[in-house]
Amino acid sequence: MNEAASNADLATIEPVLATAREVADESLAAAARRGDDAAFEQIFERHRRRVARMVGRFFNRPEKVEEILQDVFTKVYFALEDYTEQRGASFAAWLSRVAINSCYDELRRARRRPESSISEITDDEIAWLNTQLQPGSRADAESEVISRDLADKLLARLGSDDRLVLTLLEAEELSVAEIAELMGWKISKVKVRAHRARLSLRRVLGEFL
Amino acid sequence: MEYSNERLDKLTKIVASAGGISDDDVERISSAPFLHARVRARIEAERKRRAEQGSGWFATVLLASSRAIAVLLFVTISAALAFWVFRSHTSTSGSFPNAGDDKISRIATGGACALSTTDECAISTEEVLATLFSEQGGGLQK
Repeated sequence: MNEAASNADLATIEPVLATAREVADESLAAAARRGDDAAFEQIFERHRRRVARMVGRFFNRPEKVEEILQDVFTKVYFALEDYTEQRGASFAAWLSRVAINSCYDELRRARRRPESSISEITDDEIAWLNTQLQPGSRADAESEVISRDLADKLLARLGSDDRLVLTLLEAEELSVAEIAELMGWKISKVKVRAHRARLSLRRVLGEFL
Repeated sequence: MEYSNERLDKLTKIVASAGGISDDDVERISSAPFLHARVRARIEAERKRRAEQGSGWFATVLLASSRAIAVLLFVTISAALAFWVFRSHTSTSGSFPNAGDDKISRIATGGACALSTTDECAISTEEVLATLFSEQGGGLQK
């Protein structure tokens, strides 16, 4: 009974704490905008893991992830003035938008670069793909490594829009509405892109199965 | 080999969610020492770049406008000087005898014909002599 009551209390307190945290983010952003470097450092400390995880979904080289992470916080620093104009949007959501847009820009740049050649898929990896399609297949540590490497090779064959939408849907597990909000797209556009992206990936998979 | 749509959908999900770096790498990157210092250095570099870009643009505009002012000043002074010279010559043209004669007047006033070699402005020896004789004749009459 007491446990149930304390759980109910926690459930009530949680949104209040979350709101307080957002207010703190707002205050820190306002202070950073006035030139308070310590406030900006606090923002950085508070959000760097979340941003790194988000960026890490799109790129398989750690040095690239770190470079984009730095780029995101540099953009945030200079864009703090704009944040005040976006009423109603939480700081965390705004920061996510900056991070996703940086990833999107980099994906598009990478597609344009001639040196970004698409890696060949090995026989082992094709065998792994076929295993995954067998009934009762299980993922172990080794297959996880293979799948990460292989996934990057397969996803590199998609367009940047397709890759972005698929990663946000499947890896970040965002809803269509959340993606629309994040990218500033219409919900119908996200749905159409998601459908096309799945078809594209299935087509890519079909080449090796 | 044909696979069911359900299995292909499952594989699509696995592939789409498996890309990127591992959680360990994420942790290593986000907790790297001096990461904040590197971000600060990047911010400073960007601030410097923006300042240089801004001052470069401002300096270009400043230089262009100062040059434009100098050119405008030169043109204005030249025009005023030319006007003044023209006016002063026009006012002294009345002191010449036979100023009413068109060709003599053009020579005396130092107008365009003074420097011109065109046929219209050319004056013949006969015309010069006729002018001199008429002057002397006028003097004799007096």
